[in-house]
Amino acid sequence: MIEPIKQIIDNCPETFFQRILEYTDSNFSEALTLAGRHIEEPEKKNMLGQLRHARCEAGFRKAATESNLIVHTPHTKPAGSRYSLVVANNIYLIRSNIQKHCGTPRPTAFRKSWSVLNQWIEPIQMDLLETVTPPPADRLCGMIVTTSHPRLGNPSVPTFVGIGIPWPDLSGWATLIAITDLLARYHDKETEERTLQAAPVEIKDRAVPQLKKRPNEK
Amino acid sequence: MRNGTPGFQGSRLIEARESRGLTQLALAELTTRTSSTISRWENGAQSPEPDALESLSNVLNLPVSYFLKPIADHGGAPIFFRSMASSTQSLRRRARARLRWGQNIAMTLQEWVDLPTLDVPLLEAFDYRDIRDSDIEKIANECRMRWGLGLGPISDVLLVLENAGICVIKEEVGSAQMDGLSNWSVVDNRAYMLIAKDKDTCVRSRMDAAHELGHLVLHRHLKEKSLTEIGAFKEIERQAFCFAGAFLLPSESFSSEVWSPSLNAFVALKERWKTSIGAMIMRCRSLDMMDEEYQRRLWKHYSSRGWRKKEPLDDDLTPESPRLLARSIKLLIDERVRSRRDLLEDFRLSAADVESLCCLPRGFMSNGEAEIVPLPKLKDRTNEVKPENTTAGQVLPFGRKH
Repeated sequence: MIEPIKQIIDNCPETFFQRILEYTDSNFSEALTLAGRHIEEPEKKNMLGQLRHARCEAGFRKAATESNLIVHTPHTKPAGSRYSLVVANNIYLIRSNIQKHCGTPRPTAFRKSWSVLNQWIEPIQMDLLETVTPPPADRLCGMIVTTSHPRLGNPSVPTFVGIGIPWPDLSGWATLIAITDLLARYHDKETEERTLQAAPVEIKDRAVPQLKKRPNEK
Repeated sequence: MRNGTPGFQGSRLIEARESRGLTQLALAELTTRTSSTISRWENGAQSPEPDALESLSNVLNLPVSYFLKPIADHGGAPIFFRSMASSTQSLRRRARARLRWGQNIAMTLQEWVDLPTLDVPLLEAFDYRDIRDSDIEKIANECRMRWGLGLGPISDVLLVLENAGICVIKEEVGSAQMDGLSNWSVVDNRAYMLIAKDKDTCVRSRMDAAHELGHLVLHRHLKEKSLTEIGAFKEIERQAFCFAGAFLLPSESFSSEVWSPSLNAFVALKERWKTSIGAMIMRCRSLDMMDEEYQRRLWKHYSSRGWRKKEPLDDDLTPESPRLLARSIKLLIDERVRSRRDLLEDFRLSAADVESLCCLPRGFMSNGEAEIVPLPKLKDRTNEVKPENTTAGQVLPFGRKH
């Protein structure tokens, strides 16, 4: 089986995830500032969540546009809302809701419809006697996972930003890694391809004083 | 002068007092003289009587001969201090005096030994405003090429400096507000630097040394007066920081290794480059690898992780030590050219000072014997009138047990 993270690394540019990380940071800060400036205390907690969601959606689209990826904002079915979808070759990326911990995303209809793409990760063997051909592994659904800690974390920054590959039924994560770790994987790939890093030079110890030659010495 | 000590050098008294971090008033109290007497001794209007000189020698823990040798003229090249704005003048004077003592030791040693030949590239700039950032990058790179350092991390910065003939002194200056200072001496045309050991972490001492190297390379021809204007001082410090960044983290190799300008990525890079995470953030900014806003965010995360006080790996990386002066002294002793006593007489300093300035083990110069440091005594109050009802205690013998 092809490793989903490898598929992502092969198809999505590194800059996209760098920007996601950067924008999610600033989106959280913006949301906190906006909530502090415009929302009164009783509604603040709820609105902070709404504002974070709105700003992070915008940041998600901006990061994708800047990385030359295809961005859509389809309507939900039944219609009533819209969500952001980023397409990088055969990788389909959406956002999960902002969570308190890295749990499963809210199982909305649009998320369910996209997570079905991951059936090849967990093929169902319906027949005990005959092998069922697994679905093609040509498409993948990934979700940007952002969490904030309601009490202990700094409210102006997210606690965790990662990418998760959900099981097709949204029952959990087949894979979930932090964006920083994903970027490290990009780096590893790059260094494999590149020549070795500049090695530290062994410095010869020449800080050695010499006795002066006296006139009567040869 | 009347009843004084012929040959007494007032300037040496100033240097000694400043080196001990004392004010004239404090020294006056310790020597049971008035501060005006100390002032007259210092400005040469008067010289101390032999017993007063002995008292000065005891209080300042310096041999009498120290006060009789004219002060060496190291020229008017500016002394660059890498210190916080909050560092006091007395702290700066103390550090300056300690650097001068280090220079004097090196000068004396050079009568007997040859130190490595000086090999330091210089930027011919007579005004700090003529120095552009591109010049700084260029000369930092030239230093690396000339000293065969390639483009990778430098394994031992102090060794590199000493190989290039720069004398490095590393000792505690008594305050965390001072990081280091440097100066070119005209006597031997050699560069000197003193690195503070008070916050002795590997990455900090490397950055301090690279920063002082920046001053020595970039600002040799600057005049002392350019350091007195606040704006000029800030810019000169910035230039030295730029140099340190370019020297420790070359743009070509370092930037290709920053796969993500995140704090976690910098922790991984710190172990390899032995440079603080703070310095790496600054370097990334100067290389335009991040914008102002992102840098601000990073600093915020940096603070919230508590790294302003202590960064990861600070306890794991071993601080570097200078070796040149210590080796010179050991060479002279081992080859029986000079004995410890001869050297102390030559230096005209206490054993503890020589050990501290030359990074020698404690007790090395005093040959393992603990040095007796006379402590200041309370003023004699025997002439004071005692109250009449005070009587001396009576000694009662204990009964002997049979």
